[in-house]
Amino acid sequence: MKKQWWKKGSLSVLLATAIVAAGCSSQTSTNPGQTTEAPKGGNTLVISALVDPDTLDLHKSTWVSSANGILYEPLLTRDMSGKVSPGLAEKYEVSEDGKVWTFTLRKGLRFHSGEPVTGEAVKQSFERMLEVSPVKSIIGPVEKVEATDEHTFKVHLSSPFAPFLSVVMSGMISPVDAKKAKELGDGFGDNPSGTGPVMFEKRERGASLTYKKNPDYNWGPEYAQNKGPIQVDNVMFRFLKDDDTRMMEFKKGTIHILSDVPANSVAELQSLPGVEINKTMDIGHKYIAFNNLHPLFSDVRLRKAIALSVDRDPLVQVALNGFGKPVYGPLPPTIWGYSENIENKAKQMYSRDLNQARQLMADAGWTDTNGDGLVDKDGKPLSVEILVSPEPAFQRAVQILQSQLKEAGIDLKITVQEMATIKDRISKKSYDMALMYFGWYDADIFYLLFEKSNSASRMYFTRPEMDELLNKGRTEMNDEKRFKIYEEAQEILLNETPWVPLWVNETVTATRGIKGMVINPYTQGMVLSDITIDK
Amino acid sequence: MVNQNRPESYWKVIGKRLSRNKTAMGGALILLIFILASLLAPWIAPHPVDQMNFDNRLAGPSASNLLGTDDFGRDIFSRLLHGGRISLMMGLITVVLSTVFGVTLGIIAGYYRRVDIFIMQGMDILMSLPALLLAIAVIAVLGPGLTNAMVAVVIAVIPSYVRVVRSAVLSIREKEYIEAVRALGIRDWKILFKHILPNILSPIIVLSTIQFGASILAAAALSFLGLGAQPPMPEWGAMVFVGKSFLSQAWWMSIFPGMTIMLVVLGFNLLGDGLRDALDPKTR
Repeated sequence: MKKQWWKKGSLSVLLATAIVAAGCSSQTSTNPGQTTEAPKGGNTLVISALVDPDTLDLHKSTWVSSANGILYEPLLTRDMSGKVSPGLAEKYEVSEDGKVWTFTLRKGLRFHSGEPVTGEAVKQSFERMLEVSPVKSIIGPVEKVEATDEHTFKVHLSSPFAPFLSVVMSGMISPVDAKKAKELGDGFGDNPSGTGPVMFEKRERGASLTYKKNPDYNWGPEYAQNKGPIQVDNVMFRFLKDDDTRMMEFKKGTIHILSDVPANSVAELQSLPGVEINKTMDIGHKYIAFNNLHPLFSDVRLRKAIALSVDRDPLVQVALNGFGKPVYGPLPPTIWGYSENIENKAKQMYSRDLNQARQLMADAGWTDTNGDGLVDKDGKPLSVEILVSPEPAFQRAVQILQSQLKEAGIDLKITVQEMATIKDRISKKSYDMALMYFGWYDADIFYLLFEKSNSASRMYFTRPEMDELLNKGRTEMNDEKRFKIYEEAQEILLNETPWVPLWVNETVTATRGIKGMVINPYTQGMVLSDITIDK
Repeated sequence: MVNQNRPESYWKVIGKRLSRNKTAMGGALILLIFILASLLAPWIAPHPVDQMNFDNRLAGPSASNLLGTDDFGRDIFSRLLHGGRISLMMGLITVVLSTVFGVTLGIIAGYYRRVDIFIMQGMDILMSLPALLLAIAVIAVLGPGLTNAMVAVVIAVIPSYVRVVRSAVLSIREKEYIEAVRALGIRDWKILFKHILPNILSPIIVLSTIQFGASILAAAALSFLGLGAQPPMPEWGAMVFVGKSFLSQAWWMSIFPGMTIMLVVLGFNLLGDGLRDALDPKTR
């Protein structure tokens, strides 16, 4: 007979002890005295990442991360201060009416297969993407693409579309070797060819991904010092999900770059010799999404009352261990469209003020009549549910929110569900509030969250005057004018507060035994060009 | 006069035999302490269970916080006391539910030979899967949460009851006295509950006692995997889980809840072993 782990009494006790024992053993392994040197074994840069990409075929991938994006180069990029900077295209022009975008390619570029990067090749890549990409809907109203000469190609849009610039820079539509992709068909993902500084070498699904240096890579981003091939021979991504394992490997010295360092381990890593900590602000923030159709939250006074009950500093300090920044306004500083003016205004309006929150609730008929500490109306206490995904930082945050709202007299119930379930409940309108997040490169995110055709995806909040602004923002080509439009839209969001922006994360990356690692906060990309491994 | 010669009742004999077993009494004592502490938690806990104190985060054991504080500055000792109510209640509910379902199915399978094959094949399918894996699969369908964790544990535990009860019923249904009552034309349900059930109580009691501890452990294991109790509930397994990511800074966050689970499970197992010895007719 097989042993059943809870049938055997003695075995169960052993299990319980094992939990305790595991605690003890990890405790000793964190002793900083046991550190070993940096990774050895040739000139291979080892990067630990959380998730193995779905495919290396950029156009078919639903989530471009540095592990697969590194094979390709965008036409344009943003520099370290957020300004547009050349990529594969030396320059670009937009016609008066905003419908025709002309890109001039760098000369002498080649794909990994040796094929030259010409206007025609980029055109074919673009057409392939429009055909196969699962995210093609966010690219914009592309009508046709044409190659006008060897180094130029044009994109014709059916209507002006300002966010196209951000789409181009996002890396999602970077050119792939369309000729090879046609040859290989579905096999392109196993044998990809792009223009990036590394070429595909081998892949072990779910475990690692190895690239070799592209010796023909003859340029580098404007903001990198090295304008030639990268300075390591190989780049290897290792996919380790478990925090303890990742930390242990990094401490052992088998990993150069540890991405997404767990916030509560940063102090420990900082104490190790030769470890550098790099903080990068995310391009999106975490927020409380109200169901604006809910009888409670269709009343702006209750939305404001909740917004005023939240104190963001403990959220960042305790839930994130300080690795983040409070956000009061609709955009974090890393997204185009962020306005300091708006953020200051938001801070004034929505810094914690329990008296004002109570006043607003009282105006809406909610007061504490029975003295139990919770406000009530018609004999029912104010009790709302928040949906949250199982991520530890989120779970800590909602517990703090729970105690903060309680001080204001609101009972917050926490329901933990997988993100897929949360999105499903949102689509069925069966929710009160949810802790959500977004990430995008442009203020056009408002269109995706609040425009009437999209508002059902998150908060069911839409206003005709804001729709008008959001549509205008998509077609306005003048940067300054466009900025003004989004400032106006953000004013509406401030006054109506269909959500409560909470914080922007700072992703922590630790490096060891290397020099020159930089992460560009605007593209969220790792700059490989200047990395050297210590000898 | 008659009273003096009357033999002692069965349960009195068992009680006496059990009280002579020192390890079993040790187990009972441990349980008594934990049950009392949990019941009295609101009165003896030094701090309110969910009170956060951000100035006193991850503080080690001290006079004001006997077992230290967690990542929100909440007092771990107070949380353990309150958590005992959740864990013990969870153990109780799962044991009662699985006993009811398991015994019912087991009696039916053992007595009505025609449906036996269907019930036992079903149980064999459940038993062919490792219990924890089965529980995780159930939760994958139902979604995480305390109630669902209990349902999952009950489903995973039922087969062991069915097996034990069925085999006991099988041996008893062939006894002459059962044949006699059947010949008298007594109804089936009366035979089952009046004549068979009382005679298979001892294995059920032993199994339930041991399952009590095992269910607490199973529920804690599910919570440890993030599938059971959800924050801010001070469930023991969930506390070990949360503490796991703070091990290098605050070992007390995991160790004390872990030790609590261990002690309670140990208590149930010691008591269960003692009961088995006491109820075993061969050790007279």
